[in-house]
Amino acid sequence: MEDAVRFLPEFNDMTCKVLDRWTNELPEIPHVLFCDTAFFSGLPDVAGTYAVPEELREKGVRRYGSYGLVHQWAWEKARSLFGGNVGKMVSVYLGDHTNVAALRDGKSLDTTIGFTPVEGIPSRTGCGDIDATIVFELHSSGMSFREINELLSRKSGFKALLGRRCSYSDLAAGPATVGNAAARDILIYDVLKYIGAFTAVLGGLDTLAFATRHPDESMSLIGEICGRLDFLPVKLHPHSSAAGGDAWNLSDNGARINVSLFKSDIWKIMAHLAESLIEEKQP
Amino acid sequence: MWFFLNILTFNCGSSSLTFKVFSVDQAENIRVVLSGKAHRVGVTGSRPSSIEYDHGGNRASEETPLDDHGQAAVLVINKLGELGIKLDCIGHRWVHAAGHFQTAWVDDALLLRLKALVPILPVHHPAILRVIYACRKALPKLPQYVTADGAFHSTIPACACTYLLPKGLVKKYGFRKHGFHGLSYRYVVRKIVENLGIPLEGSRIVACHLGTGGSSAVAVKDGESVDTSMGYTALSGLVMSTRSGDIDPILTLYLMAVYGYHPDDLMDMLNKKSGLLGISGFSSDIRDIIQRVGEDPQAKLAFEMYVYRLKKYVGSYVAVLGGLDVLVFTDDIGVHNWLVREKVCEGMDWCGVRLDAEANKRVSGDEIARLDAPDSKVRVLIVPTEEELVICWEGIALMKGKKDAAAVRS
Repeated sequence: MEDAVRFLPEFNDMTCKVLDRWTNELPEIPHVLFCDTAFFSGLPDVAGTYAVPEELREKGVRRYGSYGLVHQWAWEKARSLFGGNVGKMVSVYLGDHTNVAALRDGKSLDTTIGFTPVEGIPSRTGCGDIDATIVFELHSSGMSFREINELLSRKSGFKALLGRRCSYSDLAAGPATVGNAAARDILIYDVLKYIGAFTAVLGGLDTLAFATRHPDESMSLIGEICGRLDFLPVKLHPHSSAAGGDAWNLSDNGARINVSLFKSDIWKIMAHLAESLIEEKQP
Repeated sequence: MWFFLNILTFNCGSSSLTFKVFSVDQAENIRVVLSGKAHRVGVTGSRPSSIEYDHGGNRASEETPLDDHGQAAVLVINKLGELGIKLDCIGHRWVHAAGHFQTAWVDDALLLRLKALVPILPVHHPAILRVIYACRKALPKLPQYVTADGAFHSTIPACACTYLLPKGLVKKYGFRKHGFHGLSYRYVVRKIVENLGIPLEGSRIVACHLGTGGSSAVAVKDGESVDTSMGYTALSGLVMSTRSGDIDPILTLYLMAVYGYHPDDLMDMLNKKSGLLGISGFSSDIRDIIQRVGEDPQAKLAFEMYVYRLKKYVGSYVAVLGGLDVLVFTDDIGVHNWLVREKVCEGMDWCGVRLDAEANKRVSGDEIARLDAPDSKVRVLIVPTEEELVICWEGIALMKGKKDAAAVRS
């Protein structure tokens, strides 16, 4: 774990310290560590490799992905919701760090997050996909590596676009919210692009699964995204809603492509995973 | 009043210079009078530099030292003198105008502006400037103009061309998606419309410009570019022969901060040693790589990644366009490599693409051809591109404007 700190110092270092403290304080209790990139460790080379020389690749430069716990769990949920008929699935996590994954038979084929969580769809403060030449221009203008890192991961994204704090709930709230339209357009556009890209990778689409902490607020966003995928054809049920429970089938009766929405709760997911892990360990 | 207009066009590559002389009559019928290419300009190597000419089917190739692009241009102008071809204007392809112009006459003010754009493309732009200055010196009275390659992408909406970086920086540096291969895409879109007889209005086209150097893809709606894979520079997007295409920007910081790579060296590696060459480890040429796919796992990975990345872009553009009417391949690899096309179209039934496998293999690549199967909803084509002709179209429009202005003045 300590070796991995260098990849994401802000988070991994803290995790190490927390773990250190609690394993000391509560040595008799089993401590379980869930790695958010583990689900993507089996990414096919074609998706996990960057097209750079071997000299750079052997330094650990590859696509690691993240939010693996959520996507894996979304697949399990979809399986129980659609009676096992999940097939080719695109899983969309909507939140402050929206990201998309392509799944087949419960295995990950590709994802938007890359070497770090900065790549992919812009987040609340992360820039998302940009031309890497920009890093070099900023450096030659006198910025340090640390400053550029800070800039791209903490001072960019929707915050930079709107010039103020902007949470996912603000964006999801709908086009009526004054001044958020540009950010909302970009979010919808980027999610659409990746749904298209991953549909191509999968060779078609059977299940489109959305997961979010804010299901109710997300309905209009999901409606807009699905409306533009009408040609696939993605057909939403006209009266679909996210009321009661934590899993909803949004697709129209008889629609060929399943559309679902899950309320994602990372605590519940971890509790569930810990439970099954401990059950496995019991003699 | 003119009956014939002779336009010389120059298209600078990093180590080549393509030229064409077009003769345009009053009805705007366009004929190529002379064409050719200077090879290995400014390259020191075992093989000598040369210029090849094609004058109405008479082909000749002359070995001659070529220190820079300006020298090559002078030789072309001398050749025109020998052949008695009189020019009315000279047009140049300008690669990256940062949104300042589409087509413009070259004057002192414009030259200042062009010089300011040198740092964005330190290889191509100085070469083009050398050609412009050489022409000015040789033919001081002849009007020259530049046509910006990226202008076709000026229609890309904000949601597709904005980088989400602090606004002050975006403004200061002009960080946004610019896109490239615009001349090629303009030509291809016009040819598709002519050839298929479809209206531009409502058409949804994805075009893939697959060159031996750079490659990109574009989404075209109603004849206008709405998204493209290259970005602020030509580094991002597809896996190219030696360019990496899309990468996580942070990985560059990681390599510089943790492993001490010098920014210049790393930039060089991403532009000149990555892509197909970086993955395969032995060649930047997709043909070499395809030959070794069977025995070399790295060659196999390089080929698969090339196709995979392209497929992702095609898929994302289909989603953005809300469906697809035409898929088109252009430039060297696009028109000549049947295996790339076959693999890209594989499993694309979901958006209505079905390739006629036999036609795809048989096609010569020298002319426009349909490759879709009878039951394909999407029309699949190859269109050999002709960037110089687009420069010529722009020249005709400029000369007309000049004539109109003269008429108003008199």
